[in-house]
Amino acid sequence: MNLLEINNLKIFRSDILTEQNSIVENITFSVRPGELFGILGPNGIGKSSIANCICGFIPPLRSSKNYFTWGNEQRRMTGEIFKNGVEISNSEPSNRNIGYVPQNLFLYPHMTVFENITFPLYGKNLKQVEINKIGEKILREFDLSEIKFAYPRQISGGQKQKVAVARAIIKDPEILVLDEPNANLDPIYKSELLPFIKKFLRSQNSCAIVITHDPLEASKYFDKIMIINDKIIHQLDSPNNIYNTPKTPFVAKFFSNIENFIEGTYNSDSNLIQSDSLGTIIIEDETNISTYSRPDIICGIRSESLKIIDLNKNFISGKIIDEFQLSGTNFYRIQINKKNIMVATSRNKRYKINQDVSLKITGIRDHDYYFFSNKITHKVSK
Amino acid sequence: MEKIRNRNIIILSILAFTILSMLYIFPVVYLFYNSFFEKGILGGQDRFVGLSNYFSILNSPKIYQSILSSIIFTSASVVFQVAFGLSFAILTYRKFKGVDILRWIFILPYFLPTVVVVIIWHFITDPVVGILGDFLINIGVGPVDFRDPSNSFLAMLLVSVFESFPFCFVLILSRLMLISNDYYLMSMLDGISATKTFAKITFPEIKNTLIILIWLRILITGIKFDVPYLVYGYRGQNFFSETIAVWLYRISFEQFNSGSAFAGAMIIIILIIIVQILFLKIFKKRTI
Amino acid sequence: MKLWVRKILAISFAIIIITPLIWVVISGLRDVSSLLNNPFSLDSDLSFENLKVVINLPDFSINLINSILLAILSSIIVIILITPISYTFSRYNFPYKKYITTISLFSTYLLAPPVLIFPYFKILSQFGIINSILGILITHIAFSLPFALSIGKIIYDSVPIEMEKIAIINNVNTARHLFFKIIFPNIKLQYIGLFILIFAISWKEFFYAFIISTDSKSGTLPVLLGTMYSGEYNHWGVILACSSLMILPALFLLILSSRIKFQYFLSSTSKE
Repeated sequence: MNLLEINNLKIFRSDILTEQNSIVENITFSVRPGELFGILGPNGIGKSSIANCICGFIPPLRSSKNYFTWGNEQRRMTGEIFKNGVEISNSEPSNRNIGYVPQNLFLYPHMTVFENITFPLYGKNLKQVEINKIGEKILREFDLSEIKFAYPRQISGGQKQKVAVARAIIKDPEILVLDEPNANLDPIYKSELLPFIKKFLRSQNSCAIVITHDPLEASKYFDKIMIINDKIIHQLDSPNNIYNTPKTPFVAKFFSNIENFIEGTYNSDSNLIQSDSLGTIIIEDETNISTYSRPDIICGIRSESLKIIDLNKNFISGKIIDEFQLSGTNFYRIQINKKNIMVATSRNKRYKINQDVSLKITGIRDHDYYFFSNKITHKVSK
Repeated sequence: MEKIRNRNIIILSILAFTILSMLYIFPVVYLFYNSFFEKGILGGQDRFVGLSNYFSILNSPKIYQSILSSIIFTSASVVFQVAFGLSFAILTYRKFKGVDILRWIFILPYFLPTVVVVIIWHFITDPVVGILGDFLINIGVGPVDFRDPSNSFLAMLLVSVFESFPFCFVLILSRLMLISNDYYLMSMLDGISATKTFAKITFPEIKNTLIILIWLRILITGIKFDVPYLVYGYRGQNFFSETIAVWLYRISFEQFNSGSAFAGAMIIIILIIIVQILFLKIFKKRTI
Repeated sequence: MKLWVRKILAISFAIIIITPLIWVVISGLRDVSSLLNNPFSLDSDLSFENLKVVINLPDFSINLINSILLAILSSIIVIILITPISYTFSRYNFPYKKYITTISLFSTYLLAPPVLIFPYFKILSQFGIINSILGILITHIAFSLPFALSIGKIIYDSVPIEMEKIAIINNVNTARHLFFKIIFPNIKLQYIGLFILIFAISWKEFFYAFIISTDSKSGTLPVLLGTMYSGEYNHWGVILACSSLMILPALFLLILSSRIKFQYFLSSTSKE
């Protein structure tokens, strides 16, 4: 059974319903116990709003106006949220048993680390002895015993992060929500936090939802990722699958490391793509494109699939305008027809800037070309 | 739980708010009601006279003189208050050694009762005992008598500005300190002169604050009683001492027609409301 | 403007402002005759004669107690009253919020003391509390409330609402818990600043005290001083000594200023 299920979530900017009013739409996903689930997308797209919805800070859109609201919250939501099969869309944040770590941590400046961490236990009516015991245990697990009596202003960013997470975890919540936990951390701490949380999730059978805008860290640790752009989900899958088979140009660019996009018209009879920039492209591998029937097409090509060769009049040619090395591979940027700038690699020969070269499109593997329609709603490749 | 929490807070707020309203609505209603009556002579019955109280007030030149006097005094005072407050804020908003003490000195006059300020400056400028009095004679400004009616405008101005500039100082200073230092570092890097930096970076940031400040100070200074009364009003009447506040005092406590006292107060309330609405219209919505 | 220019200007103005105050205090400690004869000299003929006369004035001690009582009481009561209202203004949304907040914050300017004094006088007389501390207290509270409300709202706005959200999601949900465990510890210093402000407003208030106290026994220090100054009481020394007593609390705060951080006072009065 799914630990958390979000069904058709739509978040509005205010309770006035106009055309432009939604922040995100049609958000549907579910999370299983033990899963680390990531919500990925560019800044400002509405990921934090989804986190706020799960926590219960965004009230549902009601037909009757609520006259007395706390918290200056302008946003509203429609849709359902289920926890273990029970609908919690209308229950208050305090009843949802969720641990929340906001983006700026908001540790209580007037309390010590220990008091900060054990603070949530006051909502459970435990005796002070119990609270201390649990607090000590968490301190040891997080390796924070040394700064037990320090104040937030005295500890480092990484330690503050740990304290914030410890504070969220101490009451053993079923769901953890973390909003950009790695945003302000050094690289050292970045690699520590998520594995640690994963360990916790497995042992407690809870799940965590992490908001992030860094695709690299996302692919390393998450079980599943939901990529959001332009108010809707672009893809929801494991990181591996998304990398190998992106469904939209945005996902291809943002996550799958595909840098070249050629627009053109597709002729399904002759399997040709007519593009302004690269002329005619013959598609030899048919499986990728067999289900595609529209005339307008975007072809995404990995830079590894393109090869630079010496100037040859049988192949399309252009001028190298930039060159750099990464992990032992040479990357080149070529300008073709004054419009397109493409990045190609070559392992053998070193070419120089301003040199005229030709481009060979060699396609061997399945994952080298991706075909998308110009409109996002028609996702094509497998 | 949230509902209970909300309910508790709402109840407390309504209680407190009721007290606040009582303190203001009660007297206003009393005022309004009684402005249509005339006090019975020797404790007799009150007579309903309709608007005649209002007419008698409006037909006498005193109210217009007091409004004019207030306008003149308030304009002059606010100009100087804000000017000094602004200057001191600009001088002390960047840190240097000992700036804390200077800032406290600039706030100090706000904690003094008006009486004390009057006494201080009277004493200082007194030709006999004051340290400044002698000096003023020597530079030819002549013997200055604080109590001299012909000096009352300057005296009022001095006292009013001295006791009020800290308010302006604090408001502008706190706004200035909110401006991020990075702006100044950037302008230094670009080699922009100090005056230009002020005009293009600092001033736009405090423009809104200044507008609200001036608006507030006009309202507060215009209705002040202490300054005109303690400088001259307790002894006699002249054009400058009879501001709106002093005029209200006189018709309330020195004459025996309470009906017109109420009417006068009502007229002033309406006047202030009109001025407020005018301000709001002109300056629409400005936050500090 | 170069730093040293700024320093010199600031110091000069500060000297201009503080010298008269200090001069008055010093002069209050001198003999009257030396005042008249050589005003400038700072002879060491300090005499507490004037101070003694002031303290022994028939109404002095009563007025002093009145002033202190009024200031403390009005500060405490105002702060208690504005706390729930300011919190509500800061955190809650309700119909007509804009109108209600504007009117509450501006009521003391729309309905200013000289306008309300006559109705207050009549009403307080009818209730029999004219010429009493209670009467003056009521007017002082009315006078300070709107101003304190606006500052209160700013104070609560400065506490991030996320702190409360985290408490709520952890089921620490009651108003009492939220306020005393989370919000209040963060605004202690600002509240102290507010207390000092309301204290000062009540302490230096002249108009209401002057009119409501119909005999000298129930007046405050500013009223006493005002009566002395405006009467035929020509004894400069005593007047100055009395003024010094009113200046000294402010000077005292100045001396403490190196300990009281300016920032905290500022943060309670800044409007953002």
